[in-house]
Amino acid sequence: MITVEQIIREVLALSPDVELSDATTPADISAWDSLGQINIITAMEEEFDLDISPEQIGELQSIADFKALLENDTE
Amino acid sequence: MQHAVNTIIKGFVEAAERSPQKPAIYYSGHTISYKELYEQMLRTAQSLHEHSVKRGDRVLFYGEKSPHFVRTYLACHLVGAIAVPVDVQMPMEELSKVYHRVQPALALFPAAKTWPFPFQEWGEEFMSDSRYLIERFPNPDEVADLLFTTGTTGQKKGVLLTHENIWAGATNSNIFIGNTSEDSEIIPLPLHHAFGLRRLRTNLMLGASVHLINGFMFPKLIFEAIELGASGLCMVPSGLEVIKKLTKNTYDAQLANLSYIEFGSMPMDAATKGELMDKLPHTKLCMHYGLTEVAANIFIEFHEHHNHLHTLGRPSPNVEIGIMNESGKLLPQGELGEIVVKGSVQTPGYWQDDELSQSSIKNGWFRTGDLALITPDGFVELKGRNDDVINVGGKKVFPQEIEDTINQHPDIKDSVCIAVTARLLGEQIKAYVEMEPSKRFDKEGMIEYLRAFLEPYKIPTQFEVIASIPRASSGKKKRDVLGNEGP
Repeated sequence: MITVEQIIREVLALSPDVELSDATTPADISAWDSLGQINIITAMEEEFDLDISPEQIGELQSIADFKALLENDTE
Repeated sequence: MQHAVNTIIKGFVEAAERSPQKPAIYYSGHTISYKELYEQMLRTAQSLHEHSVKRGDRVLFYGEKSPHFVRTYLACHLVGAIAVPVDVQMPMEELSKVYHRVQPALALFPAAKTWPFPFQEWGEEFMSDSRYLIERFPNPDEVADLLFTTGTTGQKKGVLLTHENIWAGATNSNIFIGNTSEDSEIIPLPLHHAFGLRRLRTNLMLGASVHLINGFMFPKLIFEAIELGASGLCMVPSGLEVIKKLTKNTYDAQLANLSYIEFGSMPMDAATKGELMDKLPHTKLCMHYGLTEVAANIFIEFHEHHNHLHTLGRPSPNVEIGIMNESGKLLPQGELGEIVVKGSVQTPGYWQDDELSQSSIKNGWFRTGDLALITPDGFVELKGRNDDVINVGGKKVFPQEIEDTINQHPDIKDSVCIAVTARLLGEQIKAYVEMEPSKRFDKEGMIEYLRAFLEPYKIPTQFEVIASIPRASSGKKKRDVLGNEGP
């Protein structure tokens, strides 16, 4: 199954030498701007068949947050 | 004798004396009162003084959204220096050029990164233990700011603004919007840019409060500021689109509590204006037209001028707007020509560029490069631009700069860039490239290459290889024959 990191890497067109970890936030990656955030959320919704609520979107501030959302939603 | 407030810095100092306990800045969960900001400004000014910064010297500094920015900006004005804030995303190569053009007495940048010039550490460290003794406030005709904006070629334009210019820009928009010291405004826009910086000055001059927020990515932060009592918001239309998307269109419950929103920097379509008017019936929806050189010179309020939403609005208070033909003659109402502006907001010219300074002013009027006519009831109707400018999320990009940069790549023979319509950002850039013989195009490699020279928003999102760049018989690139398809 595709991972959160893979989605983010693909959506933001990151080169392979950019390192991603749970602690990575938009502030760490210049391509992760507001448009990047929208595209990541849209890709997550499509890939995992989710409907992420505005409240949940508000909490998505790091890769760990995206993973937590996925775990909670697929339990 | 009490002199009238005629500069931003004087307005700020008087506001701090009047209401020292009032919040000046809300930032990242902290509040800084007018008294605290005033103290910090004096200590930063003293530090500038200790580093031998004199009147008229330039101070180049990191244009981040933070209280450091605010006190450094005010301190520059207090000591009579010229504030030169630069985009935190400016590539090193570009920054280095700006440094050498400006020859600053001092550069203030974060120590965490290496910079291609000598600098002092940006932040808390740059505050002396003692306070600066205010001798006098700057005169209105002294230069306050030097702001770098995109030029038609690779060379950025250094726009000079006097204390009178920035005071007039703030005063005129205050009159239109009706701001008072009771307001507190959310500023998600960058502070090195003319719009965000004008909103900062406007509020500090009045003794109002500002909520500094980094961009539109977390609408929750904007909503929290509204719950704290924020009354106003400044934003670009693409920021609104981001908020709509990230809240799944449930933004109105919070934004409807605002007394006003000021939009600017890029056009907004009629459908969005209509939607805002429906959803925010009691919020003043103001939109300005302006340039760094002549701030917010035309204003419209959507509810009040609902019959004129297809226009830019009417001239701002204290600003004269004319329509001029190519030979410099002012045209009568109804005729199409270039928008020209006159008033105290008008820049005295560009940094070390007499040619551009002279060509941009005709018979005392500043030439905007935009084409329009005036309707019988005095509204300005925009009809087009004189040049090929691309508007990416409110930031202007001139295709020639991008083409010149792409063409320096050894594999590329020639290129042409055009605007493509993007759903969220208004326009994005598409580059058509002509390769050198036997070279293959590598998109990722090209983007990596461009990152060294261009700000991220200037990097094309789409590329297409074509056999040859279409040109007219004059040799001029024919941008209009290349497609304008959506992304």
